[in-house]
Order: sequence, then C-alpha cells, then structure tokens
Amino acid sequence: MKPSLISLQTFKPSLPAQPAKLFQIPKLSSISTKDLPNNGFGKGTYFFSKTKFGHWRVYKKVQNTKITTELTQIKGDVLSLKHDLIKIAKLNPKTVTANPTTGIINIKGDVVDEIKQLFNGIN
Amino acid sequence: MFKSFVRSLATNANTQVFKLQEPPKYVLGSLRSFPSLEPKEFVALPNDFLNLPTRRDILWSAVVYEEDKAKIETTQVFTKGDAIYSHKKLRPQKGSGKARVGDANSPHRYNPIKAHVITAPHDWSTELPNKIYNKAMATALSEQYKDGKLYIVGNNESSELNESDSSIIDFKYGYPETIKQFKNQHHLKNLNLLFITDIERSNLTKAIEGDKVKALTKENVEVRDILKANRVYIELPALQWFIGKYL
Repeated sequence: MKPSLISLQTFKPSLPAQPAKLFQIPKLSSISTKDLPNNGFGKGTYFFSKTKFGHWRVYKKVQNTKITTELTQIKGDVLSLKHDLIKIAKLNPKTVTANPTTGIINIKGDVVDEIKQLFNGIN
Repeated sequence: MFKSFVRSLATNANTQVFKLQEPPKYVLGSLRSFPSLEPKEFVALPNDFLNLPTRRDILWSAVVYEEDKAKIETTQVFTKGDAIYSHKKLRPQKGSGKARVGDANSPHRYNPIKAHVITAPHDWSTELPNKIYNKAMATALSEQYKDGKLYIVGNNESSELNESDSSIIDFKYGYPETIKQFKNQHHLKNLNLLFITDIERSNLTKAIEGDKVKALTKENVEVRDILKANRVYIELPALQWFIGKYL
C-alpha cells in the first residue's frame, strides 16, 4: 500500500481556554442551620456516598498477591464507620484498617460485592 | 458467614445501623470594609473549600511543584565540546615515562570541564495533577480560615460603609505611611501580610513598596504565598474566582 498524505487521525482543534466561573453566593435566607458546620456532623457520624455514575466507592485493590477491598472518600468520623462495619458485617477487627486523614478504609480480602450489597440493603 | 449475614440483611434492613449524615454545605465568612476591617455582614461560602482538613502531604506536593516550576538553571558549566583549551597534544605519546595523554580538554584532568552535567537552559518543572493542586489551594485557604487569619473584604448586599472605608483592598493615598498606620492600627508589626486583589490596585502597590507586605492579583497567587502569610486579606470577587477555579 502506498503511503498516504491524508492522516487518518481526526483533527481536533483545541478549544480556547474558558474563563473560570465565579462562585455565586447564595442568600443567607436560603440556608438552614443543617447546612452549617455546627450541625453535629463528624461526631460519631460520617458520610459515604455513591459516585455521580451511581456506584458505591468500594474497590478491589490488587497489589501483587495482596488483595484488599478499599472504601474511599469517606467524610466525617472514619473510625466510627470502621467500627460499624466490623459490627454489622462481623469482620475480624484485625483485617480492617482506617486512615482518618485520607478518608479510606481497607479490608483484607475481596469483599467488594458483599460491602456494596450491605449499603444497597440499607439505602 | 458474611454472605449469609448479608442475605438476612436484605429481608430485615435496619436503617439505624449506619450513622450516615449529610456533611455541612456552607461555612460563614464575615465581609469587612477596608482599611478599618469592620465586619459588616455574613456571607455563605462552600464548606468543601474553606473547611478542609489539613493534608500536609498535599500541601507539600504543591509547594514542591511550585518551587520546581520557578527554578531556572543559569549556571554555565564547560563540557568537553566547549573546547576551552588548545587541541594540541600535551606531551609526546612515547618517551616521557608518564601515561599517555591527549589534549587539555579532557574532563578527567584538573580543570573546570565536566563530563556529564546539566547545562542551562534546563527545564526543572515537574508534573502534578490539577486535582491535587486545586485541593492544595483549598487546603491552604482552609488553614488560614480556621485560624481566623483570612479576612474577606467586600460588599455583598449593599451594606453601609464609613466615609474612610471602601469595599476594595486599596488605600486612599499611595504612601508608605498608610501601610505603617494600617499595621499599627491592627497590631501587625513584623508579620507577613498578603493582600489578594481582583485587579491591580495602584495605591496599595505604591504604599507597600520596600515593605515585607505582599500584594498579588488573584491570578498570581500560589499555594506557598498563602502558607507563608500570617494574615491574608482577600477581596470577595477574588475569592469567588478562587472558588470557581479551584473547587
């Protein structure tokens, strides 16, 4: 086949840089006290949510032969969620580790489906 | 055992087991007038931008990234190719009783020539994901906010101002005496101050000349500027721009 001058790659012109959108300040009357930091969040309570695509943030982490289940982006009291998980799922406490700074919980072994099922059953 | 337990949960789900709660959405900041710094009104700002936990690892990454970006290699080093000496053979190949040598441009001789070296210009910049840098900016501002060292200057819902005050960070006169008076009034001697303005303010720039104080427009602010400052004064439109860009 003869070499062609026409590139098969699609030509994508780069878009001009968009200016950053300004944050619109909400009216104080539209905010309730629950939206403010002194609503008791973080004292024994936590927040664990789905992604914007509707999946729980529970992942199988493979590090060579070491396989763990990772729960990410936990806000609030991470240690409290760890204790609740141990209690509800009857896990061995030695197999569960939590990192409160980064909001991550690791469980030894692949229990992704079970943990997801647990959260699906509750919410 | 685990699976059987989960199956039983599906039939009698107990909603009270997990203590899930929605996190707060906003924090309150007080809008102030300048230069009296008198609080005028409250303003709601996103919790995810001004109330983040202090992640020293993220701050460290961002500062290293900025330092690398600013680093410029200017040292001129001679290499063998520069040939600063003559190409003449230093002594005859045979008969001297010493080792064989070529010319003086060899890096193994006692001279300023280096065999393998980074020469100017060299790009030292490293890479950092935008998400990490943005989080570092928010973390740095959160740190100042939580310490009560972040002063927001502006006017949201047309509150009344004193005659000597304004809703922008700018002095009436551009003399060094004005910044001295400002420091004395608020007990800020020997402190690092950072003024973040929406656009360049001429009187402020003139007043801080030759002083430890730093005044930057919103685009030129880096994470390390915020971390170094003991007090941060920011205009409301600049803060809105920050939240729009870095959140």
